[in-house]
Amino acid sequence: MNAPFRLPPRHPDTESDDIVVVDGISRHFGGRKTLLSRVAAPVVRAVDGVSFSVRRGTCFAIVGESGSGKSSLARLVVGLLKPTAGEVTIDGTRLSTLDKTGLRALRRKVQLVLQDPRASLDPRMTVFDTLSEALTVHGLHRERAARAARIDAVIAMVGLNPAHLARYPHELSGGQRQRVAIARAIICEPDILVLDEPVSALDVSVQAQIINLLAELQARLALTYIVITHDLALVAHMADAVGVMYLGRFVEQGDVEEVCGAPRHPYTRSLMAIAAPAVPPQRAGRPALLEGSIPSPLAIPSGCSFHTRCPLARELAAEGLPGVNTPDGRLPRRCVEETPVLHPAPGGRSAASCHFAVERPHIQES
Amino acid sequence: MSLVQDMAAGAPPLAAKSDAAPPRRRWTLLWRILAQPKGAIGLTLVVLYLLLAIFGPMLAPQDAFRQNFAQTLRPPSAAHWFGTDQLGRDVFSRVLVGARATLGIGVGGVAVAFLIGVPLGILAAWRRGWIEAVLMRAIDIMLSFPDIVFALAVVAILGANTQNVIIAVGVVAVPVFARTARAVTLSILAEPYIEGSAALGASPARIILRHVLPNISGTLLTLSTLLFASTLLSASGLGFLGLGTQPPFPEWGTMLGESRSYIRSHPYLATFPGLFLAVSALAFNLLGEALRVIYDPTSRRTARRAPLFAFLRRRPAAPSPGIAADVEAERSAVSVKALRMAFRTRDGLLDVVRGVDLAIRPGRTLALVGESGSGKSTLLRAIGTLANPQEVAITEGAIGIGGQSALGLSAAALRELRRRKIGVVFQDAASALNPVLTVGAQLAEAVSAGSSLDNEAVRQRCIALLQDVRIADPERRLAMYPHQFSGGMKQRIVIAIALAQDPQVLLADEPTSALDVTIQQQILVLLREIQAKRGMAVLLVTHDLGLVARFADDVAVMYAGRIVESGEVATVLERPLHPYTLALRASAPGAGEGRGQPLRSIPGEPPLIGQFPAGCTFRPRCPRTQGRPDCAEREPEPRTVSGRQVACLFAEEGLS
Repeated sequence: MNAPFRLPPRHPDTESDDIVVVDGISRHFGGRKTLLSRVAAPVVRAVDGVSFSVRRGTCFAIVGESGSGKSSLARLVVGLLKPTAGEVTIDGTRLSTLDKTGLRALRRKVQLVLQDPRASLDPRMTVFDTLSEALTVHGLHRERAARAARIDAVIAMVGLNPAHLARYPHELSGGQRQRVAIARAIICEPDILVLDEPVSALDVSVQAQIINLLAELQARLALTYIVITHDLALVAHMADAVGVMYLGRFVEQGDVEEVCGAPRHPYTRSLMAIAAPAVPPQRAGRPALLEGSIPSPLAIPSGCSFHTRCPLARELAAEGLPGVNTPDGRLPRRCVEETPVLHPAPGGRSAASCHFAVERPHIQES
Repeated sequence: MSLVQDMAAGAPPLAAKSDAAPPRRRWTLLWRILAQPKGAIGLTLVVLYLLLAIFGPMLAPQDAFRQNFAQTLRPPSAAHWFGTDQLGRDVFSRVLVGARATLGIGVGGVAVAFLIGVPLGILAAWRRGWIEAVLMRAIDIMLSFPDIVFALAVVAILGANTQNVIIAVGVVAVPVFARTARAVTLSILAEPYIEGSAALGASPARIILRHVLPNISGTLLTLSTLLFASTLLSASGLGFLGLGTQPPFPEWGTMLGESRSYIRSHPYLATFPGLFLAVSALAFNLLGEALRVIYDPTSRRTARRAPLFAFLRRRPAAPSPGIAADVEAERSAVSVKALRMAFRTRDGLLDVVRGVDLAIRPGRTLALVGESGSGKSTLLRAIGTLANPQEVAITEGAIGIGGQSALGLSAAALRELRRRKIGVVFQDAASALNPVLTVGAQLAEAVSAGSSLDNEAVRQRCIALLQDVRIADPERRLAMYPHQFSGGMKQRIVIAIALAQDPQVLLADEPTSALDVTIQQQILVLLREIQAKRGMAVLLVTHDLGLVARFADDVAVMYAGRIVESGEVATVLERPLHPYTLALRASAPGAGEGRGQPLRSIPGEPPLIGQFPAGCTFRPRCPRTQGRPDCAEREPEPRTVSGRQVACLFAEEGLS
């Protein structure tokens, strides 16, 4: 299990201002026998001992590929999933101490915006009904006039106009739908928005509008964001801190300048190399490709779970480090047998769980 | 430009566009039902039936119970409109009197089934685990009895009268409702908007009442109207066995049952109750259908009927004569000249590709970049000769593949062209492979089509193809099924199939959008290697300028059915001259904006097909036009500026 890692505060007096604290959280699926079946389902470690904290008013990004467990982690933070182990604390409230009603009340503070606005809005409800429901659920603005005023204010805030209120989702464009989804999330004045791939389903020219809208709302409403994405360019643009997830664990986490600017874990480095801007690069300098694909969470590799694909491990083995033979070639013994812990980087603003991130400072140069 | 300005500029055209749509109706439900032909007919019939149920006994011209053995089994006459039955009773009067019991059983039975079955089904779907297991097994057991036996048992226990018949036929239909309700609830619960409202803090009761029930009501309503008829039949079965509505009380199902013995000698006896029964089922069905349309806002515009005489249009499109010769003379692997395409809709032809020229030389990769509605995928299908002539028409222009015109060919020649010269890779590898055939069988099919190789040669070729796409251990993989491969591996197999006949042209429609970023790179590197080895021309359709920069030689940017800028990647992306290309490049995060700075976004959204603005189609979103009248007057033609083709009247302004 990863050692709990927490960034030292930038200003010592703001330490208490962590609005979200996730401490060693795990979520395993399966492993239980169901009625009328003799064999227990295999255990999937979707999230395995993840710790991080988010300061009020900042943006934390969770980066990973499909199957990395990033969506499960987000749902644990929102309280839609119950952790197998560990604790989530939101604004001083431990989620495990809340009953179902308390949890629903807490949802007012933590809202979720999903990837595909086409699917995340009820097709049978007009924009007005969708927004109105959020107020009804939390018993806000019960009076008709107050409710209409609040809805008008929010709809203007996301750049739509009152003419859109009578529409059904299928009568809106992709960008407008995502604006409605954002309006629904902010109408109850939450503190935290969890954004699950907020722009990846949108047209490229619309993505920038939504990213700008999110940035504007964050500043205006003092929101805290947790963004889930696979796009490191977006992370570098939006986030203050980031956790890079691979098979249920953070392999690297810390300040975005550190993690994106000087990645120390070989996985982060490969992801960074791929996230290139849209200007023609020199063809010769093509990034090192990752071999293979992310292993099944049913069979997480031993030792460092990234060893099956790690370019650094291959390089090190070729350089003559004591190694063992694996189906993926000859790899350093430590990579295959020892589970790495998060090593803080010099300066302590980030940490990477790679055995060789410390001993091989040269991998910082990227 | 600041964010707020962006949005202020973006909102009005959108609003204007949508105001053209009909304003939200404040019609009553009744009016909305009557507005549909189905609804009008259904509602009229249902009202007539209800009137019949209420006033039937009063309207009956004769005593429905009076037996007259002198006049049994008479055909219809002036005295007895529907004839008389085996006891000499007037069938017309019996039909009128029986309406109440019949409709009562039908509506009541369905209501009983609905009220018991639907909550059970929703409960099973909501509370997975043992509750579901127990409920569903119990329902399976109920289903394993024939309906009539089950209903018999219920009536035998409760006693035979009309009320118990309603309960019996209702209970019999419970499993159907429960199973259907569970299935549709499960699929609705999997929708992201359910998770959305759970995250909002909505209670389970609210989620079910507000989100699940309305969304499953369409299916359940249709099911109810269908079951109405079968419920009546069950009831008549009971009546036939003497356990239904007790004689001498008339009921259409029972009357139908009684007339069975006379069906050959006196067919009219069954005709009239049967007719009333069938029309009642139809009436409820039509009304149900109309209600479903009203309560499903998404279904209103999707009702797209296939044109009746569509098959007449199946003629292959003929190329425009002048330019067909050009494309055959060209040395390019792909040559498209002045191509125009239009979707066939009920409102006529809607332009989707509007005058496109492009050429791909052997060994080059052309990236076609565009957003939704730009026509890029339609264009790719046309080049792949895969455009369905019933949906999309090639109205003008010519397409040449390897120096051969691809338009106006016979079906056989088209298949030959497709097989020999064109390979296609689509976005979703999972659905491009047949799940029940092994990978080897699918590869072998592609290899052996149109060739006379023996089995061993085909096998060797398949192994070589899998090696080409870097799949290790190919001999063993041939015997595996698609589901045993990961997404990236499936896409490799799809590429291998596309390469099976050594095509000159490979068309790839967003080949990596469904894959993880690290896998994307692997697939694109592989495509480039294969291309270099074989000297193929590749057309790569994508929306990702980052991929274009890294993997393409040439780029063509499409907007609203036209190519607005094209040329070598280095030239075009280094310094775009069309404001749209410029905006696409600038709006990607990481394109040089500082952290926390707003991205330079384009206001508005890509125009929809059929709603392209007049003049330059990019004008409403363009930062360069600044209201210049030239932009509104004519659509700019592509012209050569600084080493690339660009369709902007003021392209030179991008140079400064």
